[in-house]
Amino acid sequence: MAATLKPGQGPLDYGNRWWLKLLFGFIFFMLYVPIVTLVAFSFNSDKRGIVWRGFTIDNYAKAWKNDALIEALTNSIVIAIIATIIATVIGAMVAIMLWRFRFPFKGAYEGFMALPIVIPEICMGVALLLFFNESGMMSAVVNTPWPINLSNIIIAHVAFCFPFVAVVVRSRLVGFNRQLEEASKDLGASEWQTFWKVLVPFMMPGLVAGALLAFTLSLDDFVITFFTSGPETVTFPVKVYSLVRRGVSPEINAASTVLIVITIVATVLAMKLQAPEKSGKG
Amino acid sequence: MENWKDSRSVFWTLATPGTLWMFLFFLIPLGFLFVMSFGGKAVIDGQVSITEYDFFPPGLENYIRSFEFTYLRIMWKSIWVSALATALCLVTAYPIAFGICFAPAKWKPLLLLLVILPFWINLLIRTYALIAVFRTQGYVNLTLGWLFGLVGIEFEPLVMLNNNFAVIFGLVYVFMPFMVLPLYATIERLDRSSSKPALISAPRNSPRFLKSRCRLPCQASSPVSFSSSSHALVRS
Repeated sequence: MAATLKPGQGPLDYGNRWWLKLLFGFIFFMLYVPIVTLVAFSFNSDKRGIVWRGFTIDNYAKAWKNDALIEALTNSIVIAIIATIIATVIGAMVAIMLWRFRFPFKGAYEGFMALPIVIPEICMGVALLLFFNESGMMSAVVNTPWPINLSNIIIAHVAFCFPFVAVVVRSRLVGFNRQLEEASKDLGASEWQTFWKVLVPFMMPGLVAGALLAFTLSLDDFVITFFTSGPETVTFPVKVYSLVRRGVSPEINAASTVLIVITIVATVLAMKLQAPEKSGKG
Repeated sequence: MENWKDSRSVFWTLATPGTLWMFLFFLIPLGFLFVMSFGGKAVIDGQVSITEYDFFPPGLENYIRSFEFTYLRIMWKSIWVSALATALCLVTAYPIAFGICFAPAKWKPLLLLLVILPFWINLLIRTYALIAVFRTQGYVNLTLGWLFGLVGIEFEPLVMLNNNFAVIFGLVYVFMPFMVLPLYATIERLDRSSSKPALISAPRNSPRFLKSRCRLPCQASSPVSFSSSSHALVRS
């Protein structure tokens, strides 16, 4: 109501309304209470983790000694790193192609590339399971040395990550001035030199954002991993799921806290890496 | 934009890896799924095999079976749960997006980061964290029990886990940040001056009226498009 406006408060200053502040605070509270308590209770000495019994780091020691949990965590991180690298390269190539070239059936091709984004994860998971099974790829990687037995999961993760990278990189490329490329070629640079010296530096923020997205998507994925992981490979989300079914334990809290810290540090680092370029352009 | 024929080698180098990957590990598996949907378990020596499939002759039995009541009920439940979760996402995300837009400029990056941060945290961990909140000895029940104890009323712990409430709350909790960002982008882009004429000419000079008559229609396009995508996410 206009009548309730305080002096000095504009009619569009919604930010100062007490009800908006209250609602705002409440929703943020709801958003963060579970995560904060999860982290806090990883330091709880109570076995069942319900009541606060005192500070301890035993849970971390226990999680560290739990080989299955550590194995799952390393698997997840290795898969995420390899899948991110492959997905970023492929995604960037697709983005450049779609941005640079005109070719027949381009609309259909673009739609095709966006399919993994819109298709339900469960469909993709089941389809990949059938495919890996029937093509013999599933049994081929069983009993192979460590990073190779993760290849099916990595392949699946790349398949659903790179379209996201392509979208992010392409939206960055839209702002590119093609005259820079032409100038570079006029001055005698080859296609390859132009690519590395002109296009890649410009794409960098998009590449970092895309890679970060791919990394989190891969680290986060449960459904597709659940279907494509063989009998002996377990990732962190799959492990947590199987542990939670048997009951809640502070060990999971500790391992989860480690993963949260890793993702937050990775995000902050990536943002820091991006920052100087932005400020350089002013 | 160049014609692809002008530099074929560059075009093919860029196009091959992505297209190949999509064909091999996306289209062929899905095609396989599609073909198998018409098949059934193979019958060898009068026994139904567990591992072998039979695609010929293709039949529609699986499709007919999928219209059985059991499956229809599950599908229907998926649809209404995701519709409700989407609506609740919109209701909770709107004030957040709105609040960030009208927050002081120096607070905006921090608030946006706070919204995005849960997105970076593993989905399963976030869901797991909810168990501690909603179980019979969870924080909600403990708090309520304490409040009831203050008044001196007997408190029966509420069952809030493993039911529809938990599913819908979890979905809203997990997907709400996805809704905030596009809403924020739309409200932020909106020309503030477009709401000023409404303010001047409005018969009742109330912000609520203004909001309903001017702001909401402008934004309608965004929530609708986003609801549908979040809907798709929820269903996946």
